[in-house]
Amino acid sequence: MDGESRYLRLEDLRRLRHLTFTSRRRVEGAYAGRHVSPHRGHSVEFADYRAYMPGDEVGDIDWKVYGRSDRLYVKLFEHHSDMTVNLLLDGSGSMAYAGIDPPRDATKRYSKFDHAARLSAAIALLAIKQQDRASLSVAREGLKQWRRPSGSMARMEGWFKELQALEPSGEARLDEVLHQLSQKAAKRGLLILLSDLLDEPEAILKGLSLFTHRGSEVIVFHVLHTDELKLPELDDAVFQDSETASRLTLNVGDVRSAYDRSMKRFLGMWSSACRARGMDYRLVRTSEDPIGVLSQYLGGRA
Amino acid sequence: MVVMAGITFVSAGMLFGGLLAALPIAAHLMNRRARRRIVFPTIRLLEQASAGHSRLFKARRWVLLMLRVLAVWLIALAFSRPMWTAAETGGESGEGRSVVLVLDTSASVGRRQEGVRLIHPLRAAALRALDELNIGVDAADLVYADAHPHALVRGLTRNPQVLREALGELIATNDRADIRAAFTLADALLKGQAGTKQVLVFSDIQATNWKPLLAAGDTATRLLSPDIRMKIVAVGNGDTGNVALSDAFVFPPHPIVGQTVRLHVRVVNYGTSPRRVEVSARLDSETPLTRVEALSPEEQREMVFPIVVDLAGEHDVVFTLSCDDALAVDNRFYFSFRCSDRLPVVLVSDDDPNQPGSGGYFLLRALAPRGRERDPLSVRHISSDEVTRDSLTDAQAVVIGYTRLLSAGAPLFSLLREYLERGGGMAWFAAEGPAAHNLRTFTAMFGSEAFGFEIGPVRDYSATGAALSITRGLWDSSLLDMFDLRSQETLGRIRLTRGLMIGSVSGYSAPLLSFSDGSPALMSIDAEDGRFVLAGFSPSVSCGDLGKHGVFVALCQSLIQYLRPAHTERDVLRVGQPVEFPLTGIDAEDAGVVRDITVIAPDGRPGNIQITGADGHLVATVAVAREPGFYRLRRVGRVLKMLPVNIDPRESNLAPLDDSDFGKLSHSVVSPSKDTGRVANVPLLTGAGRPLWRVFLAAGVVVLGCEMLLQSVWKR
Repeated sequence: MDGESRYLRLEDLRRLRHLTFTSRRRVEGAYAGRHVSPHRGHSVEFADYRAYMPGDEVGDIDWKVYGRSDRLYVKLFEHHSDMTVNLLLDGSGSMAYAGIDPPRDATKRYSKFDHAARLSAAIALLAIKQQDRASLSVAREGLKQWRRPSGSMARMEGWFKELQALEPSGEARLDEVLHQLSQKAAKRGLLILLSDLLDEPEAILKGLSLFTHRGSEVIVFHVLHTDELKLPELDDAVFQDSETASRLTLNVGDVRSAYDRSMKRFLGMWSSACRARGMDYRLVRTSEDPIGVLSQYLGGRA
Repeated sequence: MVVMAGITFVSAGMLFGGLLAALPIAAHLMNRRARRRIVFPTIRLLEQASAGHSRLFKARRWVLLMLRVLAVWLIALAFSRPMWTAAETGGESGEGRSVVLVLDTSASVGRRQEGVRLIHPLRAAALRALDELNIGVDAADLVYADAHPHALVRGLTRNPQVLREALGELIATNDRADIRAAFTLADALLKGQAGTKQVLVFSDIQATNWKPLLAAGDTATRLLSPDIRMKIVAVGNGDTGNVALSDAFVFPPHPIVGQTVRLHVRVVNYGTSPRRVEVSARLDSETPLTRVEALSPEEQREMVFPIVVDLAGEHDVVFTLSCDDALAVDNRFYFSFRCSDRLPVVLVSDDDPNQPGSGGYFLLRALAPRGRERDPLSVRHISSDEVTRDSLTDAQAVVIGYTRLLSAGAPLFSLLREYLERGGGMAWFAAEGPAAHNLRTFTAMFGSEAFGFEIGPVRDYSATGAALSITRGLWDSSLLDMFDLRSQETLGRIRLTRGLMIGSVSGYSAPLLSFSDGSPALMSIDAEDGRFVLAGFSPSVSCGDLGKHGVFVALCQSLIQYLRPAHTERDVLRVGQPVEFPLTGIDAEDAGVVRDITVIAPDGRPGNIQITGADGHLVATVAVAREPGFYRLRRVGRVLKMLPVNIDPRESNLAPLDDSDFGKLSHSVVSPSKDTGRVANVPLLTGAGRPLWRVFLAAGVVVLGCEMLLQSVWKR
């Protein structure tokens, strides 16, 4: 790859070569692949017998069964198809947070969005490596960037290079984005949401349920900065909301313990809500290595 | 000084420190302004966290701010040294106090202690006392207690700034403090003043300065008027680690050129630890001689430097002590002596010394046996009526032979008496002519009992053929110890036909030689400060054969040695005393000569001199010697005379007065810290009230502690 992207890195590819990403649910893909599909097909995996019906392939009739029972049965096999991984990145202003003292040089800044993008790039690489397809969407004031699923590394590289230029801002409106994406995405596939989930939880969960209800698997990577998990060592400061620009003046020391409790509640709420809806939930700290996070997650998933 | 609600702030200037209380407020405001603006994602959670707490937190912050301000205020007030005066003065501070600060500026306060000179803590303590004065109400003055105590201003002043500036220039002198005179002056300054009168004495309480007061029975109540309160503020931690030089002399006291002389100097270790000292003696500008000695604690030792003097005239000697001790000014000792080509001896006789057989003839030859130029003694013959004060001034000894009959008012007697009073030595060979009469007239001037013997008649055996001889003597005495047995026998065989009868000898003046009849032949009497030797025989041929014998030469030479003073007659001059140069041979009318005379001080600057006295006895006087060293009397660039001036050796002993002695002198004593030697932080002036700064300081610290405690609790 010429001009290696910040997010899509060869070294990540090397570290991911031993990993595989499979869906826990059956997936519907365009092409034959390695993932179990709800359809019957011509794989080596036997699935079931069914009474012969006119129109069935004569070659599919199990003649041994006909010899024993004098009835015509057709032998059914599992259909394996490829998987479509829908990556949805939160591109809201809150994802731009890169610490209380971020470097002025934008190229040296490492925000939550960067972290999420790097993680999504690693997932995309993994999908392409195992002959699956990935699509990439960014939620910023609605679904602003949706890329059709592709298994091409070159295309992927182009997406992530474009992503580098993207400056997270405004609100994500994840509920709206999820609705839009559910229209565009494959019927059964994998949705991976990488967000700080600072929108209305109910609306987001409702949007995610659209995917689970139709058989897609949903994985939520909850990306948070370490400063958000543990407030920085400050005295008095004016905090400005990254999305709404509302201000709050307070002494960090005064609210630290209360904030910790609020944060704990917030994380617990998301964790339990996701699990209750059959979604995977994983908290990702910006201090963690995204490849390590992915390895750990996939290891636990197996 | 500021008074508020019965509290007097001694260092009111420090109240401005209360402005520091603005610092926490300023810090608070600046903190508000300098708050960081942080774009933060999870502000919703922050809002949840701060909801319901913000009012409480604000209140907490205000409480902390108030505690900080209060702590700063209390500490600033503590530094303003508040005094509770309401209790003592009924709500008003003491007013109209008259205070005299007596400052000991003697040489001993110039000592180094803990790396600083003692004068600095003394000055600091005095400044503290000035701080306690009520500006515009209290009157004060400074008295410098040196050799000549003097006040800063004639009356007391109500402007402490004048005193403060004077204290800024306070230095230790090289004098010895005249404490009694300082008290007298302080008493005079306070006389006629209204209100409370106080004398504050700032001193290192050096025992050698203060003990004489106790010995004389002087106490604060005796030295000062009854209405004057005295407090002694002691500085110095009693460290007496000082080594000093003192009491130098040369032996022989009047050396002659080519003679080996011994320069003596005393080294005293006043400290309580052994010292290794290096002492050098530099004669004129020659290479110094150096000796290294180890001195035990409180040991004093005489160090001797033998040296040969090649030139006649005045010689200066500087003894230098190399030792890291407390007081530097006594590590040098200045000394001078005169070296002569020959020693002048005056022979007074009314006979002709060139007439063979006369007493003068034999005496002259016995005193200078090798010819006049080669003898160490330069004998000057003068008849009895030619003797003047000048002719005796430099005489090492005076020998009197035959004298004509002299009346009681003869100048010779008064001049001889004066000579003896100055410490001179004279021998009188009294067996010839009217010797008995003259001698009686002379001894009568001193009183009947002064000499301890009676002068009898002169016995004359020349007609009878009988004779006296000298058969007994105190041969071990310093005068006669050079006479061996043969000399004694020789002396005993000499016939003496005339001899003075000396009777009723008292016990304390035993005869050195005795005649064969047992009567005294040679007596030595210490008269005034001098020495008088009376010989009852004479060398004249009319009196016997003594003059013809060599043993008489030996006796005369020994006699001159015996009569020469064993110590220098020069006065030891001290810093703080006047320096007087006698101008021998200059008349008052000789104005031009007097104008040419200058005295150069040790620092090289000409000193102010005053010329007093009558014709022939003019004296050039420097009123006060300020510096130790050599004061040189010069005339047209030539040094005529040189006088060494040293500090008073009593200043070298830095031992302070015992506490018990101190208590006898005054009951009100502020003792210094044993470690630092600095004055304790207590009010020095009476009527200053009860100190409150400790209370304020403690309160400030407590408030600060509360603030820190609350902060840590609320942060949890």
